[in-house]
Amino acid sequence: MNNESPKMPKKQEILVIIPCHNESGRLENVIRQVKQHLPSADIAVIDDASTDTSAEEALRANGVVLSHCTNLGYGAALETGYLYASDNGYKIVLQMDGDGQHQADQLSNLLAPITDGSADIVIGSRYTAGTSMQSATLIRRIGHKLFSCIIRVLCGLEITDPTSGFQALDRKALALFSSGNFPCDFPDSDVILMAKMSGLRIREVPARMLPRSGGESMHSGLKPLYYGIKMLLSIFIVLINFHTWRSWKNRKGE
Amino acid sequence: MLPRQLIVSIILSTMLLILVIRLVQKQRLDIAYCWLWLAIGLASLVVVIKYEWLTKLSEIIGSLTNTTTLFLLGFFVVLMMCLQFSLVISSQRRQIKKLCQQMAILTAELQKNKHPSNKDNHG
Repeated sequence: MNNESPKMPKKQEILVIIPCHNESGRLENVIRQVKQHLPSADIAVIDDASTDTSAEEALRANGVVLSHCTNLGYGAALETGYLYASDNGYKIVLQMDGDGQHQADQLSNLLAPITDGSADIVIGSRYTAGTSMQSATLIRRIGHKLFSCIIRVLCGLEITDPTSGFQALDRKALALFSSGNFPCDFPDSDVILMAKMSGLRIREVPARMLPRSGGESMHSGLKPLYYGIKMLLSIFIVLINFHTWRSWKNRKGE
Repeated sequence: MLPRQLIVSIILSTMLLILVIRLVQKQRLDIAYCWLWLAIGLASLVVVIKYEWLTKLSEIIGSLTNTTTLFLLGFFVVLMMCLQFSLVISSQRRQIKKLCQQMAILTAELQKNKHPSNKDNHG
C-alpha cells in the first residue's frame, strides 16, 4: 500500500528520522512500515546509545544508523537527525518515535501541509484524532493542559498535543533546529514557542497513535516532575531570548 | 590575633598556595582553573597579616564578630567555586554532545561509502 500522492517530493528530499533508545523488537517493524507507506523517503535511525540490538535491527531493515557513543537524551538525538538532514541537503524532515506509537500510514497527513506550503512545522496530535485525554495519566493530562494553555496565552496558538514527537519540518524549521538552539532532553512546548517567535508557521493535524507496546517511557518515574519544572524554566529562557528569535524572523523575511 | 594562631594561619595559607602552584606545575590542574584557588590562598594570607582589615570589613558589613565575616566570605567563595564548576561542566557537556553527534554522522557517512548498496537507499 503506497499512500504517496503525485505531488510527493522526489527521493533525497524527505528524511524520516527515528530517535531510539533500547527499542529492539519494535524498531525493525517501524522502519518497514515507513518504507511501505513512504518509499520515496530516506530513513535515519538515531541510536542514543542503546544497550540492546536496536542498531542491528535498524541496519537489518536497511536504514542509516547514527549511533551516539553515549546517551545524550531525546532532544540531542533529534538534533543529530536534523544535523544529518541539513548536511545532506534534505528539504523535509519527518520525525517519529521508534517505539511503534506513531503510525507510518499517518506520515502523509503530516507531509501534506509542508508540500502545499501552508506550514513550516506540522505536529501530529493524538487528541484531535479522537483519542481521549482520559487514556493518559492524570499528571500527563495536567501537563498537556498547562502547556497548551501557556502556548495559547504566549503566542495565540491552539496546540492540543504539545508533547507530540510526531512532526514534519520544512527547510526553514530545519535551519532553526540545527542552529545549536535545540534543547537536549525534552523538546516540546519550548520548541513550539521558539519556532513561533522565529516566525515559523505551525499547524496541528490529527494523528492516530498507539499505546507503547513495551520498553520504558522517557516520562516514567519521577521524570514528569522534572519535566514540568524544566519546561517552565525553558519557556522562560525562550521568552527572554526574544531578540535571537526576532533576528531569525527578520532573516526569514529577507 | 594570638601569635600561635597567626603562625598556624600563615603556614596553612602558604601551604595552600604552594600546593596549587605545584599542581599547575605538574599539569594536574589547568591554569584556567587555578586562579580562584590562588585568590583564596592569597586572600587568607592577607587576612592573617592584615587582621585589622578584617575588623574594618566586619564593621562595614555590620558583622558582630570577625568569625561571622570569615564564615560569610568563605560561604560566598564556595558558592562561586560551585558556579564555576557548573559552568565548566555545562561547557564540557555541550562539547561532548557535539563530538558524539559529529562522530555519529561521520560514522554513518563512512558506512555509506564502505557499503555502496546502502548508498542507493540514501542518495
